[in-house]
Amino acid sequence: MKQSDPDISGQRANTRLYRRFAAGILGIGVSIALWQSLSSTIGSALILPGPAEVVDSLRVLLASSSFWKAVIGSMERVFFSFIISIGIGTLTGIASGLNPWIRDSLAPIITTIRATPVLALILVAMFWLPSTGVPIFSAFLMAYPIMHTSAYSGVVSADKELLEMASVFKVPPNVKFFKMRLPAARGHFLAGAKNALGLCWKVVVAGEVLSQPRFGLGTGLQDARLSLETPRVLAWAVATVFLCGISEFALGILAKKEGGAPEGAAK
Amino acid sequence: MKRYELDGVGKSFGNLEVISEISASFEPSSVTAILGPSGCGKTTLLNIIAGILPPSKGSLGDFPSASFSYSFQEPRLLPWLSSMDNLRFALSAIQDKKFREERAQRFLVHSGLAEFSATKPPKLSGGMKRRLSLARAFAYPSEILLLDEAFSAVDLKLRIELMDLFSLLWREEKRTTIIVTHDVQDALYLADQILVLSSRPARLLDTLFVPAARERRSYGSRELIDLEERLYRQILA
Repeated sequence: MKQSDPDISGQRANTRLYRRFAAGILGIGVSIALWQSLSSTIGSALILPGPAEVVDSLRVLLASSSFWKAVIGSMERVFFSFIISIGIGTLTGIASGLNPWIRDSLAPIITTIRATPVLALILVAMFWLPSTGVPIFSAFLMAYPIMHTSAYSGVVSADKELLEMASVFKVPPNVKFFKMRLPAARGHFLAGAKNALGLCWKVVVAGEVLSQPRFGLGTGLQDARLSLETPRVLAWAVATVFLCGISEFALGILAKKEGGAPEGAAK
Repeated sequence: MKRYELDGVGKSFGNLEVISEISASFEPSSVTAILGPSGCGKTTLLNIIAGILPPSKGSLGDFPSASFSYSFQEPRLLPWLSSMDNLRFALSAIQDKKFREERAQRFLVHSGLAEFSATKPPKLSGGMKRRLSLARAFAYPSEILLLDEAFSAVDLKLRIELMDLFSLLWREEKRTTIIVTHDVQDALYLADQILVLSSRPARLLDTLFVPAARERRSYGSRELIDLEERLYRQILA
């Protein structure tokens, strides 16, 4: 059996990691330099504040208790919308993959939801739900089709030859489902979950901007905008991007801990 | 133990006739090799016998009521399951858990993969995957064993090792076995009966019985030179 030297492959992996890290730092540095030069050219903190002003605003935000309440409020909404969309999306996606009748009857609903503009959804939801529920409902509806399609693709992507092998050996349907279809779908599922989580953050914050729950990143953004405090608007936006990145990273770690995409499964 | 028969079995895909009328009988506990040129429809015939494909015409006799195990041209292992779990997966229709575990363990040991029981297929060599696929086919307690080019596309040494493994496992449980191959030497080394097929549409050209006892045969033996020449003549014709 051909085995690679673990020391050499470990060194290569480290070198790759350093290169990626250095390239990332370089990209951030160049972006900040461009931002600073653009801000200096414009010369108005109201239109485009410089990085230093935004960092100052962020420092003030981090020191305030209302910021942390907003973070917790938004995280709760993201968590609930993400969990609900994963639960229902996975269920209907798997059912659609196993039963063409369910797939065909759900197809128009999924297409309609997918084509509906997020703002239209939020505005309609504001008639129906309290301010805290609007971001959750909107984010669920936006993330649900992603999870549905990922789960469906995962189930139908099972290798035809493996399915043929299982039918020759008369493998019971439940074993086939749990040992063959689900592991094969895991790669699709994880990719879908990552996309859905990012979308949940965006839609929850957008929903909060319009529905104005008491505590939320979107509420903070809107308050700062109404006070014409552009550095504070950008500070809230930076905090949102950071939290979204952190949660996607945490999801990646969790997926790796749970085994990640199985070897040989569709990625 | 039953005697299985094919009677005038044919298969067409649209206007394309792949198999012309083939009739043959398979003695209980015998090894039959289906020999023919590449692409002549041997695998299609095996898939018809296994019930994967329906025949376009003819009768399959008692085949539809039989249970099968199949060693495919590619190992068809689940890459996310260990070697042992791949065997357990194929045996999952068996209700008796103790019996199932015993068979999985026994055939894993016989195939020389005991120390790789926890290893997943992507970490196994090509030869090990083939052995595992053979072990899986034998571990499943079927009435009929089907092997589709299970010894092809590997070097000669590994091919003989795999055929010896087949013989070892087969002696333990002598099942009615049908092997598809395009290799005359493989057929002569393993089979009691050889069905020679023509190129597409496949017709049965000849049925040969190999007189020498399998235990006394060696690969490429000169004892069977007459049969070998006859087979080559038919295939080349």
